[in-house]
Amino acid sequence: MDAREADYAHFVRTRSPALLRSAYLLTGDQHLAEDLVQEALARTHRAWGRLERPEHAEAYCRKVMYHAQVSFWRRPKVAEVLPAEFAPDERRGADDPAEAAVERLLLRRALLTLSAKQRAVIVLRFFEDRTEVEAAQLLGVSVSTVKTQTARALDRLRTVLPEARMLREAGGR
Amino acid sequence: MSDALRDSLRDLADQVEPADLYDGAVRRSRRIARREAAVGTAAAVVVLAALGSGLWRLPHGSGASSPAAAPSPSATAEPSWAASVQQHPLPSMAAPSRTTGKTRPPHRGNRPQPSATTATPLSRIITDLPGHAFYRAGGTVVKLSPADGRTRTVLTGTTSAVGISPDGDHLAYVADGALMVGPAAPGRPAQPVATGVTASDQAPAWSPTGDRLLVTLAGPGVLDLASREITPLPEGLTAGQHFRWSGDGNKLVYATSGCGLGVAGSEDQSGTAVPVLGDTQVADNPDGLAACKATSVDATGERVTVPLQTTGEDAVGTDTADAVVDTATGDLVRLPVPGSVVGAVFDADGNLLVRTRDDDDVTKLSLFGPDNTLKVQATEPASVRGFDLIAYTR
Repeated sequence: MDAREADYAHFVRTRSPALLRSAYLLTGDQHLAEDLVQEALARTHRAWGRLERPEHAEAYCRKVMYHAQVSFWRRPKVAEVLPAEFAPDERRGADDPAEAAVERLLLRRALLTLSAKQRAVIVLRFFEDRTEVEAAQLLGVSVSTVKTQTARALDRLRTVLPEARMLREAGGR
Repeated sequence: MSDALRDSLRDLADQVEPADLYDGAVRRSRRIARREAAVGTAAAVVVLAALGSGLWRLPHGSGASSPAAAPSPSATAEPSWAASVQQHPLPSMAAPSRTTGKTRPPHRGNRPQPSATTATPLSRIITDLPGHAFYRAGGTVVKLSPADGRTRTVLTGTTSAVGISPDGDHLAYVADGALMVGPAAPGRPAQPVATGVTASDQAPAWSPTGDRLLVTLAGPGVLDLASREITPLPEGLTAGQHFRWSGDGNKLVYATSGCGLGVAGSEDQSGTAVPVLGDTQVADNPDGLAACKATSVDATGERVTVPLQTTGEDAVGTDTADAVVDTATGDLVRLPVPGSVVGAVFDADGNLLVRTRDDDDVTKLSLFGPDNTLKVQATEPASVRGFDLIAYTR
């Protein structure tokens, strides 16, 4: 393995965990997340020679990953979810130690009801803590599109998760 | 702020299991490379069936021009960027299949072709490879001369894009805003010939006759090395980047800000967009292909080498191309070579040098002549392993 390939291997092994976390939110599925990150890493491998610094590689890889997921010419791959799965869970209560797990499950399913672009802006804004400008640059859209998609995504999440505490204060920066 | 949503997203993201994606990513990268190498056009399929049929024709005798290794005193500034090459008329570049108007031809689709035929070379001996190949790694540029088997370092420590003259004897680069031109030989110093030059969006691009350089100052312009006069490109071309000359000097191919390509003739005030690449319409660009740089152009401007990218990417880093694009249709030209293409470059005479790497990490050089004959295909010397191919010259 030459030095360039060793650098790439180091990049993959150090940055894959973070990339997988974002990809899991984008796809809602372990295997689809791995597939998405692997696609982005493969494209990054192709471009490795022209990515002069590690931070360029990560930025490039994330950009490819988000584009692969939201590009309209590719059919986004996400875990399937049925509307019936949103039936309220009557067993859930404030003191239930399983509440966090239930909310996690509901949030995952709610995210999957969003469009690919809406899900991407939610992940970028509220998980990666990107500014609207950064999110717009990464997705290749205007800032106003990011604002619009964020508002619509939050509205949608509030609709499908009307009682979720996490959404009561959500608004954006 | 929505800290609760942030916490919930983090909590949800924690559910993903770690995975070692290295091997899979490398395998997929190679598949992508093979697919890109296999992507082609109907015209290219004809090439496979009958090399030299004319559909992939490069003009014969374009080497009839006499590139000036040294600045020519006769090449004084004229109002056209092509003025110097107009003094050296070349054989006709007419090509029947060429679309010269601004009407977009129908896109034939960048779909992999079923055939995987490769051409048979006339020689498999590396010393039969004429000319010189230039490679770069970091700030170091080396010159491989296959005929004598030598690899010489001709430039070190540069952070600028580097332009190699068509005869392989000179190079140009930018240092601290100064355009430096010097011999492509070890230990031979370069001299400043202009100031206020930037190279991030435009490597110094030599004219086919070697007496002019297309560079970017406030905007792109052509520097006459003898008179030091600079002729700005027409206003309609100033938004272009990474301009490269065709071998006959009659065309410029360049990249647009949207990672598409454009072509301009020597008398044109603006360019014509190359279809497909950089197009965000799914019907026209189903694979999301883009080219943020042109790196070399064939003899007539019909084909250009580019680092193939996808829409939404930026032009960064190397000048190493891995695809050949038909400038009339935007289709990728299928190269009848084995393995993955990791470098491709035209010289001013219309020869195409293709660098490939196979699954066993063996790198080969394939040289196609202007008549489309595969002249040489041989294993590349180990001395340039780890370097990127940037130019091929006489």
